[in-house]
This record gives sequence, structure tokens and C-alpha cells, in this order.
Amino acid sequence: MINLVRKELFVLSYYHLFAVLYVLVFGVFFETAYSTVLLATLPAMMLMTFASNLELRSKSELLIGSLPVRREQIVLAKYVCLFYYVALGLALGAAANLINRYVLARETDWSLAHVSIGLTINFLFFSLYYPFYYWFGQKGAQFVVYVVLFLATVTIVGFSDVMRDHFDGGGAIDGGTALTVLPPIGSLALLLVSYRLSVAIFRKKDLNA
Amino acid sequence: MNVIEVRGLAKQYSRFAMKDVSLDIKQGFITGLIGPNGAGKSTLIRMLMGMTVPGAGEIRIFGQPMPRSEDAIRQRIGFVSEECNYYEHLTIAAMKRVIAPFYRHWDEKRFNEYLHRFELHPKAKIRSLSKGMKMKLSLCFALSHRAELLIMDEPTAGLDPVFRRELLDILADLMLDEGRSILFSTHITTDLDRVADYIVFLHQGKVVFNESRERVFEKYALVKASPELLDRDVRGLFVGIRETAVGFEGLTERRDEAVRLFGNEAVVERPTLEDIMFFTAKGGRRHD
Amino acid sequence: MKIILSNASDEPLYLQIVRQVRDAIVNGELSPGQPLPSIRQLAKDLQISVITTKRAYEELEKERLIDSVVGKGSFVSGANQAFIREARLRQLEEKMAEIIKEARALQIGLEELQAQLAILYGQEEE
Repeated sequence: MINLVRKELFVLSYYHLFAVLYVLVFGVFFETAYSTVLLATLPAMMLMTFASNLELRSKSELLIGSLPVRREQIVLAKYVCLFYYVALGLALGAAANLINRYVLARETDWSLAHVSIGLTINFLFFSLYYPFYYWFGQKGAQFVVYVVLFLATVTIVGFSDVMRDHFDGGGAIDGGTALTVLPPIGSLALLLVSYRLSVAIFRKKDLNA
Repeated sequence: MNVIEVRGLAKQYSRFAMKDVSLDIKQGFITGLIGPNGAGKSTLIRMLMGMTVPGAGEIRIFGQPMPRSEDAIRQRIGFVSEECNYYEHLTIAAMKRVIAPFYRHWDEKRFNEYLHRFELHPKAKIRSLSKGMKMKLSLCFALSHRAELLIMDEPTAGLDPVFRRELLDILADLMLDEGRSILFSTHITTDLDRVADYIVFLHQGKVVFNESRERVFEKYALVKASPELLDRDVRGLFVGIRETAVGFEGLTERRDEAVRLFGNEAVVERPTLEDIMFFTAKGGRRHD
Repeated sequence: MKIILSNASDEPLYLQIVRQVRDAIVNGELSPGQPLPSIRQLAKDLQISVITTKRAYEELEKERLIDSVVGKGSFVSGANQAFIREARLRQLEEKMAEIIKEARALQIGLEELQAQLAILYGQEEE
């Protein structure tokens, strides 16, 4: 399974730069009021989309299928990768934020709350995405990405407004730490359910159908 | 000893169905899987590899069940397919760095020897390789982790005749180790004439026969005679018949009976595998 | 050892091998105790199925012309000269049967045949 994770990251290689580029463009150069939330959420989804695209283009499912790995391991690797994407996405977002605050001396509202929102939205997104990915196969899943990305962006934009209204300067949303910590944990639980579902679906599927 | 055992395998597609296929593949031999396009060869192979999920049935490889032990089983299998799907933007060396760690018994030295033998450069980008070269790369990977079973899905399609011979030589070489087995599907039957020990003939999702090559040629015969000799009873002897104004050709699986029946009135010859496939398909169409 | 197979012949491949190995042993080309190629090596060299070579060797073992030792391979059996002589006598008989058949077809009687034989036998000694 580790090998699969390593494979995914290795194969992504220079596509990582696209994510960095995206963050720089939307986070630093074209900073908007919505930037911070977008930065917290979208880089991860982008990375995952790149990875998916690569798999789709080389029809590598057959290759993976010939390797000595079990179906559960293949799915598990994808879920483990998403933690990497999310972490990287948040790190990039935080970095862009730092650049904004200290290098360009802009005011930003990046806070722990944004990390919380980033985690939650990403976990929710991936919880939804992967079962669809395994159900429809890579091609169908692409379509789902676009739909979900659109919904995500709309939600995020909406969230940003909400965020600004409730920002209490202390790094947490009012409602206290509970509201900061619970949503990520809750969506993590959802992720676990999603994993089980994905495995069940994938076990019954023909590869590269 | 059987390296592969299949019982009651079934698979349903919109335009194709496989029902209740059972067969054994013996260890230590080369088994050729023949059949016309659409006969189910690739489907069968994919099910053996666990890439396609059977609708029903059981598969055991090395005595272990698929797909429950699929990871342990595939450690010991080298797979070559005419669709070689590698990441196009990687080099051969990079692809190797992705694949090698998966195998417990990866043999780096042997991999490099094969690369060298097939004239493949580690720094070459996979997208720059021709189809034949990708196939050779596939072969390199399949042969570099001490696989006991080689499963090959149309490995010679798309290869130039020179390399095809070389491939068959390589396979024959591998078989000097009697622990190894090879299963090799093809519609180029002349390849099997050179190397196969056993032949499985698949037609419309069913196993027509699974025999040693010798036995096949002892049983089947091509009968050529005058069309006047064809009455209803005689027709029953044949799997498929090709009639012309100047004679008929028929394939029978009862050679001895044919010889007895026709005596000197007919020419009774050894058919090629291609004849067997052709006449079986022809006969099948008539009976639909 | 030389084995040459013909696909065009009516004789099954494994019998062709048996015959040629038998001849080689009887003619002394292969000596007792001499190792034979493994069935797999032979199959590879002749480009035929391992099943065929296996069958050939099994047949040769049945005729006690070769011995197979597990793990070591197959060897020309240390058959006593008498055994080989017996095989050659059998061949001689077959040849004599052929001569007699031909003689009958040409309507040559037994005495004439014997006379002819004596002449040729005498000639050989010279």
C-alpha cells in the first residue's frame, strides 16, 4: 500500500508545481476577499484531479491491477494520499498567506478557523468524490469532479461571507473551539464511512471497463 | 499438478456471455489459449488476474483462491498484455522505480539484462516507445521478479516476425525450469505450433477442448473428398464443412472413424490449428 | 547425437525420436552410460512439445534402452551386448521378411534366393 502511495506521489512529480502556481496566482497575485477560504480548500482538490487525470490518460488501472496488491489496498492508498493533498494544500495556503502578510504587508484573515474549514470541506468533498469515482469509473468520476468542484466553490464563497461575519480575531469562529474542532472530526468520520463504501464498490468492479 | 484451476466460471456482458467454464492448466508446461476474436480469451485472462470480477465460479491459482489471496498470488505471476499501460511521461528507469518495490523477489540484474537484450534504454521516455518496444518492456517487467507463472494476453500481436520468433525462443528457454508455467493467449496459431504443450480452444465463451497438442492432432482430421459422399449421416461426422463444386473439406474430431468410413475415397490429413478454429467457427455458425 | 524430425511424415514425432535414438544405440553411436539431453532441453532444441519428448523417453525406457534417474536425467542403459544384439537380430529379421516379400512378388523361389544369398555373402567376405 505504501508503494501505491509512493507511486501516486512519484507520478505526480512536477504537477505539484501547478498547485503552487495556482496558490500564487489566486492567493498572492490576484488576492480577493474569498482567497483565504479558497486557498484552504482548492489546492488539495486540484492535486487530486491532476492525479486522476494522469491515471485516466495512461489507463493505468490495468497496470495497477496486475500488481500484487489487494483492492482494499488500492482504495486505502487513495485515501491516504488525500491526507497528503490536504496537508499540502493547507501548507501552501498558509505559505501564501504568510507571503501576503509579511512580504506584501496586506491584511489577511487566515486563522485556525480557516484550517478547520479547509479540512472539513476537503474531507466532505473527498467523502463524496471517491465512492462516485469507484462507482462510475474514472471517466464518469471526472464529470462528478466538475459538478462537485462547482458546488464546492459556491459553498466556499458563501462560507467566506459567513466567516467574515463571525470572525472574532482570536483565531476561532464564535461558538468557540468546539465549532472549530468538531466539523473536521465529524467529516473525518464521514470519510471513514466513505472508505468502507468505496472498498465495497470497488471490489465488485471490473478494472478499466 | 495444476497451476490454475477454474470451476463454473461465468461472466455476462451485453453482447457476450461465458457460462460455466471449467478447466485446469497444468504446471510446468506452456498452454496456449486459442480462439477467434470475441471468443472470451481476454475475458478469461482478466478474470484469472483478478482484473475482471466473475459473475460466478471459482478460481484457484497455485492452490490459493482468487481474489482473496490476490496479492500473494500476483507476486508469483508475470503479466504481459498487448495493452501495456505505463505512465507515458515517465522514463523506463522511473517506471521501474515505481514497479520494482512491489515485488518481493525483484531481480534488478535480470531486469537490466533483459533491457539490454531487447535494446531498451533506461533513460528513454515511455511515450517515445513503439508498440513493439512497449511490449518488450512489459516482458522485461514480467520476467524480472522470478515469476512462476507467466500469463500473456496476445503477446505477439503487433510484433515483427523476427522478434516473435525470438520471443518464442525466450519462452522455450524459460520452460527449461520445470517449476514454471506459461499461459499464452493468441489468435496467431502458428506461434503455438512452435511451442505449446497444451492447447485450450475457446469458442463463444465455451471451452471446446483442453488437450495436449499431440492429442489434438491425433483426434482431429481434415477430410477432403467428393461432395457426393456427403449424406446426412456423413455430415454428422464433421464439426464444419466447406463445400465447393469440386469437392468438400471437412473437419472431424473422430479421425479413426473417418478413416474407417472413407477408406480410400478421401484424403485424410492433419489439420493446422487454424483449420480447427476456422471449421469450428464455420460449423458453429450453421448451427445457430 | 543427431535427431532430425519431419513434420511431413506420417510417423508420429515421438516415434521418430524413439526410432532414431534406438538406432543410435544399436549402431554404437551412443554408448552405455552416456547421458541424453533432458526432455526439456530436447524439446527446446527440436522446437517441439515437452510432452512429446517425455513420451519418447518413456517409450525408450519401456524398451529398456535408457534409464532415467530422478534429479539426474536420462542415460543410455548399460544394457548388455546381448540385449543390443537381440534388437539388431530383430531388425535383421524384419529386413529378411522384406526380402522374402519382394522375392515372392518377383516369383523367385526359396532355392534361387538362397543361392543368390550365398553368392553375395561370399562376395562380402572377399
